[in-house]
Amino acid sequence: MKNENLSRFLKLHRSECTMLLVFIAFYIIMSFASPVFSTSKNVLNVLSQMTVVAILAIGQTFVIVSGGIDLSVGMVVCISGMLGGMYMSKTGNLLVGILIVLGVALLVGMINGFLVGYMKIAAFIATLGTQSICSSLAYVTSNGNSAAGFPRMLSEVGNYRIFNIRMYVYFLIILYIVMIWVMARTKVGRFTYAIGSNKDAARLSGINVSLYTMLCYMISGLMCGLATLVNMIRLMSVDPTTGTGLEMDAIAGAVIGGVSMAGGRGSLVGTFIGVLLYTFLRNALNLLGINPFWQGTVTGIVIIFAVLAESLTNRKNR
Amino acid sequence: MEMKKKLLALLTAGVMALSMAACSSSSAAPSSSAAPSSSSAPETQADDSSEEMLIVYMTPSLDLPFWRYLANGIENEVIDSGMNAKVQLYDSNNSSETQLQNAQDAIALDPAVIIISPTDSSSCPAVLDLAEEAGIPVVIADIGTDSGKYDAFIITPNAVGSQGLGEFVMSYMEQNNITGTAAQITGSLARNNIKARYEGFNAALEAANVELADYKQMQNMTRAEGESLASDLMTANEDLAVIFCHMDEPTLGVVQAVQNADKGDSVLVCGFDGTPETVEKIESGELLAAAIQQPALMGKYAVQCAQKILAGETVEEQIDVDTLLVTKENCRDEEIIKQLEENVFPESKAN
Repeated sequence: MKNENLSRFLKLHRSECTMLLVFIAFYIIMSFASPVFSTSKNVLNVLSQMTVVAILAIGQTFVIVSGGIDLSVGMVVCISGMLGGMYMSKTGNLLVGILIVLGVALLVGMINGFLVGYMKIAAFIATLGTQSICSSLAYVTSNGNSAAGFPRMLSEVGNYRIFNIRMYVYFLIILYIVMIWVMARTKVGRFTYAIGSNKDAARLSGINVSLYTMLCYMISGLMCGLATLVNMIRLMSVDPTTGTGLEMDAIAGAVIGGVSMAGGRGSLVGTFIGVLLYTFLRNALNLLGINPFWQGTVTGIVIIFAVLAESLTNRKNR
Repeated sequence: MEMKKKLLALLTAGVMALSMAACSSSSAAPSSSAAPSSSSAPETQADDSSEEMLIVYMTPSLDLPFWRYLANGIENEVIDSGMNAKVQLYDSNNSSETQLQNAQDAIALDPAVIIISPTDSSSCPAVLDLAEEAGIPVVIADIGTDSGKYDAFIITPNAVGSQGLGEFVMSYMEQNNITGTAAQITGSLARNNIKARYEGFNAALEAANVELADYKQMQNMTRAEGESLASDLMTANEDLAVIFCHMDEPTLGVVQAVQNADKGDSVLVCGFDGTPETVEKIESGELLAAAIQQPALMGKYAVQCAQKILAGETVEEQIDVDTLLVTKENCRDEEIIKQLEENVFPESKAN
């Protein structure tokens, strides 16, 4: 009986298990290769480094599982941080500033969702459009300047350490637990999988496809807002290039973690492992002192191999 | 099935370790850690008995030649001065997030000193705070910081350089009876050094009573961007006689645009910073002149500052490094050629 459960578990979570094994193997090899790699200081560093991308990857996972993609997340981090940050530094009002960050990010997510869900524009194009708009508006509102001088409380609370772990890392873990539950146990999560697997079948079985597609993009928007706040805590500044490339990091993390670009398959546990691996990899390259010119080659190879391993094990299993 | 999965997992991990080992052997720094197989990896530079010192250089982006030359200047000075040190480069890719992550990773290695060229003066304090907490001295090379504690700051007086360039261009116009308006293609005017270049050049224009017809801010600082902005400026302003572009690569794009429009005789191009190609264009007359910063010299001074700080000596808080004004007349002078090769775009001696 117990054995049966285990094999069912393995079958259901094949790609997560594969990536976990890869991660463990990588971790062990690196611990030998670099004396500082497995020190608690470095592990804590990596956890704090991964937080922004890991939060973005939650939204990205919802969107990709629903069969879409969200290219706007990096620039949503930029525009929401810019508007909220400029307000904070001007008025010193932290609470309203935070609400502006979350509100702007949610609004862009809603627009994305409306364009994809109701207007039926291809997700790639719709979010490419909003990405460009957000980036441009960040330059317009800031006149190319950076925003800094936020209330010190933001950094003091966000960076407060318990057991030497920063508050925003605890927040990341709680957020993942909540969102894993949402994705696996609630209607929103189940409908997202259904839409991503087969949109027509989902519609025929009575799911409001447009509405639940829009919800995925709104979740992505909200996650952008939360990631922006963490980013502001870490840097205490926002400039018009903030967030550049973050969408690709989030997508890479999700895909390494076994989320299928075709939609309908993947999980947040996998995404978490994927982002963890991706961040540790970048960290390892830095610790080994590898020439920055080479770093892109290494990460590229690893992404391709990770996805290859995942797709081979899954193909065999079908 | 299970077996295959595990094999694949191991293979992937092996590929990661292997590719890293392969890369670290070809990295810029002379490191002894490159073990080609994952099983014999537990040996790194930190365990070396000779206690080689680690110098970290954080560059905003290696895609601009300027920063590569500054890095070369640092590496070459470490080699020339016989310092027992290894230089490790960290590329921020123009992103303040990456810069902070790199700083965390670098500090975990406990370097002797950090030399940083920040992505932006507002993003630098976050890095300075980390370094201060870890007790690591910091030398800032260019850009500057809004706040925070550092040990030395090396900077080019940008306004002086671009004003000198402007005055040269104005006197050239007067001598050759060229009239018309001027335009600037600037970097981000939110940055202090760019603002200084902009204002310095304008001061020269005002003194000569030449009108600034327009200016455009670049976002990507690429050759393609320089080319398209320059052709738009020429289309919009019939009487344009001068284009001043703020950076090395885009300036070459501006030169291209002027040639494409067949306006080589009526539109003068001048630039800030330079590569060997810049000097070729000056020699051929397509580019009138350039005020060239000396990035390698800045790197050299940064290392010299670091040495003094580590020896417990005091250093000047700010060190100015002037620009070289390179024109068709002086670009073949031995003195200028020597300065360009040593202080502006030297080859790296590290490989």
